[in-house]
Amino acid sequence: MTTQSPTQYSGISSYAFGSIVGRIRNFADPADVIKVFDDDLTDVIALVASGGTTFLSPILGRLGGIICTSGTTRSHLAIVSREYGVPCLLAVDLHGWRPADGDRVRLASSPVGEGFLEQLFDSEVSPDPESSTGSTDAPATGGTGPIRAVTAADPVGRPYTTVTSGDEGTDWWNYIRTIGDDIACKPFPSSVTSATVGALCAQSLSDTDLNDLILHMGRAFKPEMTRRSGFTSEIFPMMPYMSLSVIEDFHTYPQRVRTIDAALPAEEIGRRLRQQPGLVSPLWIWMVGYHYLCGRELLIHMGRIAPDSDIDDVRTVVDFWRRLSLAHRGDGTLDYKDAGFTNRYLPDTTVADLRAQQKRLDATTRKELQTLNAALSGYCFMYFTDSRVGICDNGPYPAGDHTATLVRDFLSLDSGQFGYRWARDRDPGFTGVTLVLTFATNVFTEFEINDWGTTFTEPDQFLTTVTDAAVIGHRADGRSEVLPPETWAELTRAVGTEHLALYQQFSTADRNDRILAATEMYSFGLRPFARVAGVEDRIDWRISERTLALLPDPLGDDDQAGAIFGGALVAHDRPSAFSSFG
Amino acid sequence: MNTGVVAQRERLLGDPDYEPTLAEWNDLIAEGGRAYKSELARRTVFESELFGMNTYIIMSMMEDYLRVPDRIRTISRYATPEALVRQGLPIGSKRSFINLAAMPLHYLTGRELYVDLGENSLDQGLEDQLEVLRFWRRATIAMRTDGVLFNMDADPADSSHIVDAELLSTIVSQLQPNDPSTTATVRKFAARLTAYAFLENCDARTAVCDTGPYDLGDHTFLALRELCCDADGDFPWLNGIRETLPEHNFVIAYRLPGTVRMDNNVWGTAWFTPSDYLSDVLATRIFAVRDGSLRGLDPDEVVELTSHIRTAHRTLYARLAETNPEERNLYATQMYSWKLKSWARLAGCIDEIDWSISPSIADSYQRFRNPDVALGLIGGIFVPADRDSCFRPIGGAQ
Repeated sequence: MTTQSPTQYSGISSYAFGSIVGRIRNFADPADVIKVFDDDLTDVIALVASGGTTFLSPILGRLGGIICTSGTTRSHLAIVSREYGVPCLLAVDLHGWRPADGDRVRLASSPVGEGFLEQLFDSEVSPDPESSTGSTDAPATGGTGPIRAVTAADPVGRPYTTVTSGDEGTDWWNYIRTIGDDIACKPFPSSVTSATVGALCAQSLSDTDLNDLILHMGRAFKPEMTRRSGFTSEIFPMMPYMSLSVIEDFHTYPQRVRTIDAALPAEEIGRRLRQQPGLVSPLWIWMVGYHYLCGRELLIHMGRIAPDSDIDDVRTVVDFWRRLSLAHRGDGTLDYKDAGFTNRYLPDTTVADLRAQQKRLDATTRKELQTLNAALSGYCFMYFTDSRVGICDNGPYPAGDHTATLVRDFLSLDSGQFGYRWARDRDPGFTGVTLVLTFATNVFTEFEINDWGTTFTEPDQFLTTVTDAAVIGHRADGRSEVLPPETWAELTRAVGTEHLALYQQFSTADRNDRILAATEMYSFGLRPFARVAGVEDRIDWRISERTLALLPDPLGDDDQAGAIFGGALVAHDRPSAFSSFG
Repeated sequence: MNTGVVAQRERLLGDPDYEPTLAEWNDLIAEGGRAYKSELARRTVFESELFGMNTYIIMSMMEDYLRVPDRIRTISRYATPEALVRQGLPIGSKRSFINLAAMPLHYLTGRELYVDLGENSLDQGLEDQLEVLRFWRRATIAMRTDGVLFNMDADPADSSHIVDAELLSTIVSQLQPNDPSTTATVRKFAARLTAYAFLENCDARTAVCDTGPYDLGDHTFLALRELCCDADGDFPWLNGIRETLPEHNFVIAYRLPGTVRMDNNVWGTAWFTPSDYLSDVLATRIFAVRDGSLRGLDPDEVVELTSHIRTAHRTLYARLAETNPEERNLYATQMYSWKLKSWARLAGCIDEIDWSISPSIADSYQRFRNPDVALGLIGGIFVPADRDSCFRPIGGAQ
C-alpha cells in the first residue's frame, strides 16, 4: 500500500552550504564504495544510514553531497564533511520514502543549521548540451530553434532561446513569466538585445506586469538564499541588521526614489555608470529592488501590512530598479542569472583598454596578486559590516581564443560613496581598485557569477588559473592609474592597516551600535545614485523612527529576527520569495 | 572563597607532589564525568558501518580497566609522568593531549561497565584507580600550560593550552599568509588526512587532537590540530601501508581572527563558529613532526603528501572491507586499548608489557556483538538517567 509522502524532508545540516542538486546513490556496504572508487561523483548524493566517517571516507571528498538518516552535527561524518566542504544533511527523517539510485534531489541548509531534502522531478526545461558550440557569438534572430547552452568546453557561454513571438517586448515579458528550473534559470530570448532596452524602459508597469515581475524576482531570489551563502558574523548580528535594513528600505525608498528619479531618470543613471569599471557595483543596483521587496515581505509576514498595501509605492521602486538595471546591463537582462550568470555591461572598447593594461603573471606576481585580492576582500567585508557590498565581479568577457576576462571591483575603500560614519577617516590611498583577470576558459567545467557578483568556479581555485592581470587604482578625484606589480605589496600593507583600524573600531562598539551601523550600511543603498543625480543632500538618510521601533523587540533578538527573516523569505512552500498582490 | 580554600584548589590543580584527598579525587571524577556526559548526550550515538563502535568501545574500556593500572606501574618504574611529558615536543606525536585526556575517561568507563554487569562493586579497586588517576593528574599538570586539569576550567572556558610561548613563537614565525590557493591546498590535505586518520583508528577520533585557542594578543589566535598516524608499527592492519607514507605526524596551525570562536571539549575536539572557519584563516602552515622537531612543509610537498595519503586510504579501506567483522572488531579494541604504547615507548619499556587483549575481553565479543545489547549497556553509562556524571565515586564514597 502506498501512502502520500511529502516531497520535502527535514534534518540538520553539517554546515551552511546553501543549496545543491544531485542524484541519489545508496551506499550500504563497503563494496558499494569500492565499486565507485574511480567514478566521477560530483553529481552523486550518497545516502547512508550511519554518521560514521570511515564508511564513505575514500570517496567522501569527491561526492556532491551526503544524506544520513541519523547522526548529529557532532558525528564524525559531519566533522569530515565540513573539512571537505561537502554538503551533508544528518538525521533526515524520510517518512518511509526509500530513494532509488538516480532519484534527483536538492539539499539545502538554512542559516540556523536546519537541513532540507527535496525530491525533484525531471520536468524542468533543460538546455540541450548537444546542440551548441557554447559560442558567445551574437545569436541568430527569428524562427524557432533549440536552446543553446553552456558546455564544459565553454562554460562562460550563455543559455538562450531563439523561440520568439515576433515582438521583442512580448518575448521579454514571456521570459519574465516563465517559471524556470529549480533555481529559476531559464533561457533568455535571443530576440531581446541592446536595441530593446530603450523600449523596455519606456514601458509603464501595469498591475499585472508588476505582479509578474515581483514573482519573477522572488523565484530568482529564493534559491540564492540557500545555495552557497550563509549569513554568519561574529561582530555584526546579521539577522537583526538584515531584517531592520530591508524594512527600513520599504519604509523610505519610495520617497527617496521619487526624489532621485525626478532629478535624473533611472535609465540615465544606469547609462552613465556603465562606461567604466569601479563606478558602481551591480550589487548596489540589485539591492534597490530586492532589498525593498524583502522588507515588504517581512512586514507582510509580521502582519504589519497586507500584500496589496502601497501598490503605487511598490511600483515606483520596482520600476526604478527595473530601468536602472536594464540601462546599466544594456542587453535586456535584469540580473546575472538571466544572462547565464554573467554581466557584460562594460563597452567593448573599455574591455579592450583594460586588457591592454595587463601583464603576464609569474609565480611571484601571481602570489602577490592573490595576497592583494585577499587583503582587499577582507577589508571590504569589514568596511561593509560583513557583507559583500564592496566587492563585485563582472564579465566574463570572452576574448575568442578560449580565454576570457573577469573584472573585479573593490569599491568605496576610503570615506567613499556612502558617507558611513565609521569610514570617515579611512584612506588606503585609493577610493577603489579594479582587478582585470584573464584566464583560460577550458580549465573550468562550471563558471558562475551570481546575482550578488560573487564568482564560483569548478574547480574552485580561480585566481590560480589567471594568466594575465592588471591592477587599476581609482583616485577620489576621478583619475585612474595602472598599478605596476612592484606596488602591489605596498597596497596590500596599506589596506591591511586600514582593515585593522576598522576591526579595532568595531570590536569595541556594543552590540546595539553594531546592529545600527550595519543597518545604516545597507539602508544607505540609494546614496550613490542620489549622488549621481545631484540630490544626495536633499534626502534625510537617518534611519526612520518606524524602523527603530522594531528594535529591540522583536528584531534585536538573533533568533526572533532569524525566524522572521527566514520565515518570510524561505521557509514556505511558495516558489517565489515575494508575495503577489493580486 | 577564602584564601585557604583557594590555596588548596591551586595545589590540587597544579602541585604534582600534592596527594588529593578521596573527596577531591571524587570531585575531579564527577567534574570529568559531567563534561563527558554532556558531550555524549549531544553526540547521541556512535556510528560506523565498518566498525561496531559500541561493541569495541565496551570491550576496549573493559580491557583498560583490567590492564591500565599495571601498565602504568611498569611505565612509572622507568620514568615519571613529568619526564615522559618533557620528552620531545608537546605536539605532533601519539603521546598527545587527546591520548592523555582519554586515559581516565576510558578507564573509569570500564569500571562502570564492570559494575553495571554485576562483576564488580563500586567500592572495589581503589588502589588501582588511584594509580591511574595519579598518573593522569601529574602528566596533565606537566603537559598543560594553563594551570587546570580540564578544558572546561581553562581561560577561556573550553580551551586547552600545551604549547609554551617559545614554541608558539616558532610556529607563528613560520605561518604563511592565506589566499584562495593555500586554502584549497590545506583544506584538501587536512580533509584527506583527517578521513584517513579516522580509518586508521577504526572510526575513533584518537589521532586527531585539537588544542587552543592560543591568544596572540592582536585579536587573533592560533588553533593547532595534530594528526598523528601510526609511524611506529603499532597497528598490524597497517603493515605494508604505513610504509608508503613519507611522513606520519603532522601539526596544522591556523591563525584565525577573534571573530571566529573555538570551543575545545573535554576530550580535545574543537568546534568552530562559524563552522566554515577555513574561509576565515588569516595564515596557516602544515608541519611534519619527526625526531622531536617541526618542519614546515612547502605547498608542493603538501600536494604530494595528499596524493600518498589518498593511495594509502584506498588500500586500507579495501583491506578492511575484506576483513571479517570480528577481526575488525579486534583491531578496534586493540587500537583503543593500546593508548599507553606511546608512553611505554618513551619510557623504554614497551617490550616489558604484554599488549595482547585479555582472553576474557576477546571472548566477550560474542556477548557484545549485538548492536542493541551494546548500545543498551554503553548508553546507560554515557548518558545515565540517574546521575549527572557518567562516573560514580570511588572508594565507597557516596
